[in-house]
Amino acid sequence: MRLVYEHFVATLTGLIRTPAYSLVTVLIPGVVFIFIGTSVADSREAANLVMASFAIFAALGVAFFQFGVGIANERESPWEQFAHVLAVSPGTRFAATILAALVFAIVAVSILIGVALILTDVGMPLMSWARLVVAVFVGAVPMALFGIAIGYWSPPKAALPIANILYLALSFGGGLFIPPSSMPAVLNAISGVLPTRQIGELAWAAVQGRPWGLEPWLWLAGYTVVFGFVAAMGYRRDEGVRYR
Amino acid sequence: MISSKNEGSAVRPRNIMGSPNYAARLVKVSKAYGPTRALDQLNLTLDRGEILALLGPNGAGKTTAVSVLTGTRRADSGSVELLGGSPRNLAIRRRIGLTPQESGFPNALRVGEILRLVRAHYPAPLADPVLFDRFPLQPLLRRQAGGLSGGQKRMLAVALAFAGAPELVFLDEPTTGLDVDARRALWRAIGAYRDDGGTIVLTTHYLEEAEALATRVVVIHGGRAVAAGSVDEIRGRVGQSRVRFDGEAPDNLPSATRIERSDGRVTIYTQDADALVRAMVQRGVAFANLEVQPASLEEAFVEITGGGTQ
Repeated sequence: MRLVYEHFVATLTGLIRTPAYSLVTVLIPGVVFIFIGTSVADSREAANLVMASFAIFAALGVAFFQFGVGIANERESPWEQFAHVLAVSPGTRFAATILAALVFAIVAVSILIGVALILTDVGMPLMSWARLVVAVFVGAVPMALFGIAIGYWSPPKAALPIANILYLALSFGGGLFIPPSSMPAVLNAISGVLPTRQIGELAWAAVQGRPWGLEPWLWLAGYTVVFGFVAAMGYRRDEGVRYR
Repeated sequence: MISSKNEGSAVRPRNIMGSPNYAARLVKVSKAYGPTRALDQLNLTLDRGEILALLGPNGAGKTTAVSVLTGTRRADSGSVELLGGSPRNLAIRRRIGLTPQESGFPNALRVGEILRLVRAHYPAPLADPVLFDRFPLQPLLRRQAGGLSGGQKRMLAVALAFAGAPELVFLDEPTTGLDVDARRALWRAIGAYRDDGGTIVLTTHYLEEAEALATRVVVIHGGRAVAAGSVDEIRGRVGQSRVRFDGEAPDNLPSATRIERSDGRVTIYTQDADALVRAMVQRGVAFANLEVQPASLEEAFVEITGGGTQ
């Protein structure tokens, strides 16, 4: 446990002192919300929906960039090879990374909610807030695994652009920027199978006080298994390249 | 882990902890990267308390040998034993220290934070006063690793290998790129660890470094150990002395092991420089600017590996 803490502190410290990472991941969702979100949040109902979508966008960013790009960068770093010989299990280091990501996700989502509370007429029962948080953080699990898969499978230099493109495509396609109801039929059909759309369905149901259907959960469970498998394969492959 | 019948030797005595009296051992370890055989049935035993220098040209297999010993790479075949167990065992890895070949640290972390993180992995790491006595890092503690000079990074890298007070330390090119003063300071720190009974495996390009530190040298070439012995013994392979002069190189001189000629300057390696010079005088060989020096390890090394890439 002490090692989890030490690695967590070191990871968090390193990220905080890299403003190009920390400020961007933490502030971008709030800033984008100011420009795009506030203009469509013309009623309480609309404001709640848009804020929920951007909360997913915020958590997705942390999952993608911290896990995806972070892992890709570390793969070739001499420090990582050194850390590999230290008496620490991969699980301990992974736990530390998850904790650090959680801190960033909480800060990013909190800033976004703060912006929404100040600039729009957001408001809902406590139960809806709680369900929104559950949807966002459960949804972040398959997305973090997707990020890890990107980190292990893409060439280190390509990881950032790949993550950027997928981040925007999945956010847009999942209906986080424009509601699925105003999408063309073809796009809506594609959107229906994206993981971001499933997280969206859960988050939107939460803020509207509707009960959760089973379908999004099944999709997310499926995506967790698939992304988890691809990430594990990538990890194995990477181990095979470096530690054969 | 280890075959009990290797080398036809009797069972080695074991101490009360049940671990063998050697610190590490490779038995018939092979390792290939595609068509390249990095290690070819390498046998290597590391005794407790020794400073073993692994020498060899680039690509000889030194770094691969260390990687296999530290568990960062798996051997294709053969057995690997580190401190009585497997190098992938966490309990074993708590007892070793190493320095990365490239000093790439997390740029945003401070020196003090890196020392703290690495020491957290060991049960009884070096306390600050001892650590800073050996490695003068104290003025750098609040500096971020990304802003350190090359020499300061090297110092930190070597300090990290010792910071956990491990039983066994792997030093991969510890003083590459350092100036003479910094190198000597590091050598003193390494010597202090040796005096405390620590065991070291050292890979180096600097033969001077092996001469200064090593109690034993193993020359690796083509993935095999081609020579082993003390620094003096390795040097003895090629001749104790090197005689140089301007002039014509005579043939059939007594005790000359090798003769080189370039630009009118002759270099003769010999076991007995006195007898050689005496013979030259008796035969009336014309020479000028005579110079007699002990042969360096580098020359022995070139001889043994048949002129490596050094």
